[in-house]
Parts: sequence; C-alpha cells; structure tokens
Amino acid sequence: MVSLRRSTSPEKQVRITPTVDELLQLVARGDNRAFEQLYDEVANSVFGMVRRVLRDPAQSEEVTQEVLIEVWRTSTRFDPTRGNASSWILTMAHRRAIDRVRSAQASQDRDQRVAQRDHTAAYDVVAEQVEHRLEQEQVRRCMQTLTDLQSESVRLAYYGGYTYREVAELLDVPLGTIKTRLRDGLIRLRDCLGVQA
Amino acid sequence: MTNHALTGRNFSDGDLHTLTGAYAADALPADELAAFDAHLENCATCAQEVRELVATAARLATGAAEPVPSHLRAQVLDQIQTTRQLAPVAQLVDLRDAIVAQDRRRWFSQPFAVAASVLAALVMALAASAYEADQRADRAEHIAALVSDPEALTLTGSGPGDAVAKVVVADGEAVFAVKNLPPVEDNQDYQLWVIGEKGPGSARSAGILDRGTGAQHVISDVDVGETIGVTLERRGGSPTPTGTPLVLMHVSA
Repeated sequence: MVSLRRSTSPEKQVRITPTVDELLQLVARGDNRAFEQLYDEVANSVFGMVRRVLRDPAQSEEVTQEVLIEVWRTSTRFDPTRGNASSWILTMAHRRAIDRVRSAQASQDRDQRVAQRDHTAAYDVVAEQVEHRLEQEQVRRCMQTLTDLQSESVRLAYYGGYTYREVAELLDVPLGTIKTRLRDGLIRLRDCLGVQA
Repeated sequence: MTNHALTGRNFSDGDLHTLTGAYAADALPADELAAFDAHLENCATCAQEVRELVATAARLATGAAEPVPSHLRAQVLDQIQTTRQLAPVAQLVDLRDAIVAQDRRRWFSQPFAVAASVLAALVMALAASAYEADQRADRAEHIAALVSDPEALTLTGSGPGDAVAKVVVADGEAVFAVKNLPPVEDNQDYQLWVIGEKGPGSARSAGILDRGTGAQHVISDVDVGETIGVTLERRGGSPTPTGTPLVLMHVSA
C-alpha cells in the first residue's frame, strides 16, 4: 500500500521577488535598497555583455560601474511606454560599450580589426565550453535557428561593435544583404525566444 | 509563430525599414541615426518592430551574463551615495493635503474613491457661478466616473509658491485641477496646454483657466507620452506658449 504525503519541503515555496521594472520605479524615487536589488538582478548581464564586447577585464569593470551609476542617475527619466526596464538598462550598457570600441578603433587600421574578428570566433568556441545557465542556454539554442550568415552578421554587429557598413566591408557583401541578415536574424531570434514588447 | 521576414509587410516609406535590425544592434553609424529616428516618428510598424528587436538584442546581453567581480558592488553602492539623480519632470505633491472640503456620500470604497471625492469636491467648490446647480452635479458625476476608472492615471505636480496641481487621465480624456496659483494681473491669463512628444512647438491649447485661487478643466484629448503644462499668457490666451511653464506634468503610465 502506497501512502500519499503532501510535500512540505522548503524548496517548493514560491518566493515573490520584485521585477526589474518595479525596482527601477523605486530607484527613481531614490530608494537605495531597491537599487541594491536591481544591481543584483542586472549587473551580471551588463558585465558579461560588456566583456564580450570589450574583452579587457579592467575596462569592462569600468564601463559596468559607469552604466550602473548612470542607471541610478537617470532612472527618473525612464519612460515605460518605450520598452521595459531591462531593455533600457542593457541598451544603455551596450551603447556605452560600443562607443568605447569605436573610439578605440578609430586609429586602428583594417588588418588589426580583421584580426579581432578572428579573435571573436575563437572566443565563441571557448564561451560554449563553459557551463551555461538556463537563459544562456536558451539564447545559445535560439541563435542556432539563424543561418550561419545571419548569426555571423549579428555577432559582428552586436559583439564586434561594427556598423552595418563595416560588416558589409569585412564580409565583402552588399549593404542590402547585411541589412537583411541583421533584420531577419534578429526577427528569428525574437520569434524563437518569444520576445514581446 | 510567423516569420515576419517572409510575409510582405507594408511600410510607409523608402527602405529605411530594412535598418530596424542594424538599429537594434547599435550598428547604425552616427550620421544615419537622425534620419532613422525621424523615420520612426512616422512609421508605427517600424517603431513596434524596433521595440521588439531592441528587446531581443537585450537577450543577447542576458545570454552573455557572467559573474561580475564582487568588489564592484560596494564601489557602485558607495558612489551612488554622492550621485544626484536627475529631477523628475513632475514633482510629487499630495493635492489631498491642500483640499479641505470632502464629500464621501456617493462613493463606494474603490481605490480611487478618495481622489474622486476630493476632486469632485474641488469641482463643486470652484465651478464658475454661471453654472446651474444641476449642471454642476452632472459634471461632478462625469468627473467622478472618470477618476474612479481603475485604468485612470493620476498625476500630481507643483508650481510656483504653494501651487499644487492634479491630473486624472482616463481614455484620452483628463481632468486637470490646480490650486494656489499666484493671482493674475488684469491683462493676463493662465493657459493650459497639451504638449506632444516633439516639444513646445507641438503644443496645443487646452483652454484658459478660470480666474481665481483655483481652477479645474476637462481636457478632451490627451495621450500617454504627452505633457500637460500651464503658462502665463496675455489676457485671452496665445496661439502658442510664450511664457515659461509654471506647472508641467508628464503623462506616463
């Protein structure tokens, strides 16, 4: 005879945590505690993405710090009708990282940037060997739904910091083709991840 | 899920819409940003797609998450102690403190019941003497229904001296109430404006405020993203705002 027992293990309890949107709203009113929680929610994504773009750990820390302080400073100007809080923060972070890459590269010649591109490919292989958490796994899996050409263009643009014109030059492909690859690639990623906005 | 790239979408102009992906990946050169931003103002489909693709690009970031060095946390928390936040456009003031009269008889206990009774009382107290008593009651009823709409947004703001203002927005319609604006000269009037996202150039008049210590006004057409403002103008009003705004309240959800 099997006796049925109701599970009362602590792991089954549901913990309700504030969303990034809710935290940002509180931060906009000067709530330090909410900012700490917001930091804990987003800092790893900011740092990880900035590191993929900048490579240099010291610079990545610098930019991560700058971004999070800017989030604090400008939280009062966040407009929720334009998108969610996470997008706002990560877009701000991405733009800062890209600005750094472009100002650093302004004086470099093309050969060095091609070498950096090869470095990009090597880094992706290493990244894939590291253990992934659920979100990373999901993004990695959805990137695989893109064609090789689409994912190459998305990676060069997003992580490489190249403008679409530079990507076209690097790959020796017409501008229209790169525009389409970037658009279709991100659309596929959107549909696979089920992103809504 | 449909692959929108395969179905023909009808975009409003040129081939700027093909840049939505590049834009979302921050891969648009600086000299092309202004033109693309301008395009987004006129193409709702593109703007929606950009919103979605920007949110998608943000997932590339979360997908790249890595443990941030632990010493950074204390550094950041330390630095925000000495970092000022930008002032919000509308300062928060509780108008209810400034209102003495309250009439709770008609209202059920709903989340906005207090605001409703307060605002209705303000309307009743400040309606121009030309209104008949029953017209006043009808308007109060309409306003009360508006403010007790669970979807309504309530905003408060402040102005020069003790001036306090409150706006309740529901369904594209708004009730604006203000108290304690400084008295106007004979040759001046306070004018109410709805300012679009493009700035003061796009301001449209919502009317002249009643003269006296307080005023209320129904604004029949206002949207989220717009800003409600009050300026001091010549008597009878101006076609566009000429004075510095004394009260500014941004309608955001």
